[in-house]
Amino acid sequence: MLEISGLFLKLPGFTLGPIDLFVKEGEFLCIVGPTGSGKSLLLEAVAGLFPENLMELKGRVLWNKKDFTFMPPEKRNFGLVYQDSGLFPHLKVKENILFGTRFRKIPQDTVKKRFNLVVERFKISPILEKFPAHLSGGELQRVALARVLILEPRLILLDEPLSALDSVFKREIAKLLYELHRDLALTMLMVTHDFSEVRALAQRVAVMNKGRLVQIGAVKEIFESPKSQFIKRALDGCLDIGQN
Amino acid sequence: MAIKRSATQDRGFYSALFIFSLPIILLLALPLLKMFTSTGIKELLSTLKDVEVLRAIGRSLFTAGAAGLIALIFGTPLAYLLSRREFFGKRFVEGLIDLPIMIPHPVIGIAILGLAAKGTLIGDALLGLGLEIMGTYKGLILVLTFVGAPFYINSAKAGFEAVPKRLEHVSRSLGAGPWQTFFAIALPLSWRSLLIGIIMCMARAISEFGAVVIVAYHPMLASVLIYERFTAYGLTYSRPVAVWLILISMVLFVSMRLLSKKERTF
Repeated sequence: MLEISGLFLKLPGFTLGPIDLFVKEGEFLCIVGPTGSGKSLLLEAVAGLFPENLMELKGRVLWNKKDFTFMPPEKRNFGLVYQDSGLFPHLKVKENILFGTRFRKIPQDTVKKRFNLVVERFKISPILEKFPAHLSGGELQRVALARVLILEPRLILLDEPLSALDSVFKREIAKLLYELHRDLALTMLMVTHDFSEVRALAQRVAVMNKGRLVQIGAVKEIFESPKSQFIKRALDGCLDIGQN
Repeated sequence: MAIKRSATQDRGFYSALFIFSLPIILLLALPLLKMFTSTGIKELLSTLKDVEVLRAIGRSLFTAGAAGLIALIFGTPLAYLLSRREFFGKRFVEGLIDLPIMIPHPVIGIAILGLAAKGTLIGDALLGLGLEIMGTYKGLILVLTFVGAPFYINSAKAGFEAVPKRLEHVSRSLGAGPWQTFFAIALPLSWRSLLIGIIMCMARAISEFGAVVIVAYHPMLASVLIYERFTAYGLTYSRPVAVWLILISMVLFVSMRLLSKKERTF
């Protein structure tokens, strides 16, 4: 289980937290909030990626009671998928997927087995020899997910993985995320500002505004009794202009 | 009709740009063109038989290459650091890097002479270590690194800055440490900028004269030989050497540029 306990980050002109949040193993939790509310900052802090201009850090990030706060990102085995997929443009799809296996002590036959599994699950065998520049939006995100899953991460961190996709690919990747969570009981923490994604995927939602958590609860509860203007407006289908 | 009018307007705009660009193009091209056309094939071929000329050009290429290599080894970490980190005194370091581009080059020679000449603290210490600076290859390479490295560092820094930090974040989250991320992500994605930086550093080093004549007149570089021939014998004797230096440099740099522009797979 991921536990974020009193996490506080101070940057020039912005403070995040203190944040208290937990994600149970096998749970899909979405963090929603307006642009600039600190969602991605929180996600990266969980990954161990702190901003260069960080002035103060307090609180703890725990995984199964073990303190991960200052553990380097490469030691955490938390998978990270960004909105723009973050595929390495100089590496072919196959090399991208195998990238992480070079740095972890995984036996070669296990790597081979896992590689075949992710290639089959994500239907990427026809594009293995292609470079990311020649892939569609949906293919990019499928490869990014395959690259993370081959490492069997403890937790998958998703930073708006659907927001750069058109409606067809968005549906495809959302379905894939749903199936991954359902079939493999993966623990997922996803940042989004799209409520349709929350409805489709999340079990619980954490709402952020101006660097703070303003509401946490089951999806139904948040939607039925929203505490923040941001959620009320978003549910009303209004255009959010960042005023609360 | 509207398309035709728009195309005519565009043509007018680009024609005006071309006309205003012409003085600069002529300024750059005419002196070189004159030098090439005034030098006969016979003179060029006979210059090639002059051992002193060949050695001077060879020395220029060797010392410029050594300066490029030093800039690559020590300038790359500095460029990466500057592109990725904020630290106290960063602006000062950046200003210091740009300084050799701005100051007159004899001043650089005088500064190095003042620091590393015999009788100075550092000069004597270097001598004690067997590192004679004045009038040696080591001195030449030191001076050429001084004048060329800023070009390399600035180009490499721009290359590293163009690599999205997110890619490095992803690399770290996939299990690569900072060193592995540097070698597996940052370096392969910015190698073109590094190569262009080396070309610029070497080009600057080959063309250097002002600082070189102060620190090491001998062993003689091509730029110094051209100057010496000009002062001793005039234009006719200095021109063929200059033409050869330009031709060899051009072949070298054009091929490196072509390599850097090799079809991108990403």
